[in-house]
Amino acid sequence: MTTTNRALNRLLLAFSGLLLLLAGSSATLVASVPAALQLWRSGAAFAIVETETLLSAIPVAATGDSWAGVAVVALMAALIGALVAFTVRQGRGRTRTLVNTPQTDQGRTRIDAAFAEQALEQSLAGQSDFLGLHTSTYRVNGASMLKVSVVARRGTAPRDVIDAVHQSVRGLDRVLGTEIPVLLHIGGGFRSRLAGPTHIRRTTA
Amino acid sequence: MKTAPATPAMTPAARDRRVLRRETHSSRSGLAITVALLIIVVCLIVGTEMVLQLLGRAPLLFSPTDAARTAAAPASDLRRVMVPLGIGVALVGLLLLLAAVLPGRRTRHGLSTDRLAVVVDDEVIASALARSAAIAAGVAPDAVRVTVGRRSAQVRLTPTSGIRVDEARVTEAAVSALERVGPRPSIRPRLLVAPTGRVGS
Repeated sequence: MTTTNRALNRLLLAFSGLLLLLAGSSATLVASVPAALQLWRSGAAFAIVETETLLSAIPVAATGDSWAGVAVVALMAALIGALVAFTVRQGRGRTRTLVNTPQTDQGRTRIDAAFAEQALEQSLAGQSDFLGLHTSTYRVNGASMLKVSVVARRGTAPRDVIDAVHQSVRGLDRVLGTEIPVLLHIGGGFRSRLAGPTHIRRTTA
Repeated sequence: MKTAPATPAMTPAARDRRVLRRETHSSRSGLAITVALLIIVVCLIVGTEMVLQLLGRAPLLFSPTDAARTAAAPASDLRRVMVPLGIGVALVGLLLLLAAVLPGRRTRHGLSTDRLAVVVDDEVIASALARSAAIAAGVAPDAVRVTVGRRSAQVRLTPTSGIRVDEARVTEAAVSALERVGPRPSIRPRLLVAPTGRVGS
């Protein structure tokens, strides 16, 4: 439910993958096929001569160094900046506000996400089939959405978990007077494997 | 980066579909961050060497112009390492490309109720299915192994020696257990009863 830009992740992976694929296969080709080596040598030599004449034409005034070095450093700095921003923006999107109504004559209403999170956690605390319970709130499409994560005991029917959470969420609806969208995640994992199934359970009609 | 198309008019059903799609597919964050960090390291090294060269200092690892010259006309001993190295680099590139293009499904199923959007780990569906099948077959929970795929589930059952397993009954129990969960896409169970039983299972 985070605001991670997944298309951008794919784009970065596709671009760098393609680059490595091309670089790797052409390096192999140049090193193993004599004709390819010949082609590479002449092409690279030509490119080096061309860049050198281009660079010597416009030297940086004070040192006589080429401006290309400065350009490369600037490019590296820009790329580093962009990639750091890209990395930092992964996994964002959590919010601490549940409801924030616009100002009216009567005033405005603000409800913290923590209120709903704690209410749901307390209401579900007694469930013996829940080994773990965690709630969080995300900003989805301009509104807050609650996420309830349940670690279920082994062998628990997912429908029983859904029904229990459903009932608690309905209770929250009544308290808040509005329906907040809810995502429920039912997971197993390490804790569930460790705890094992129940051997004695309350029979439900 | 771009904040999701901010259309407040998005219906609850459309919002849930979007959230469930995102929860059942990988964001590739880990891989993307790793690749970004590697590129940052390469940029730092090249940038540092470039600055050192501009200042007329000795290079730390390599001088950028020397490196370009060496690459332009690779000597024979360099060419020998270039073959395995190039193949390795190309393989890594192919894997990254596949990670970008493939759907990246996680082992989860999504479903919607009238109030909740739900994602269930396949592992949880499997253990619930195993429990229902074990009860229907009258064997211990350990005698049933379930693997859940996207559209089908394999229920492998080891019967107790000397007691016949009612396969129709177990299949029916598995089908109704899955129907009660109601995952999208729906899962079809396949029952495989081991030909030899086990004493005391």
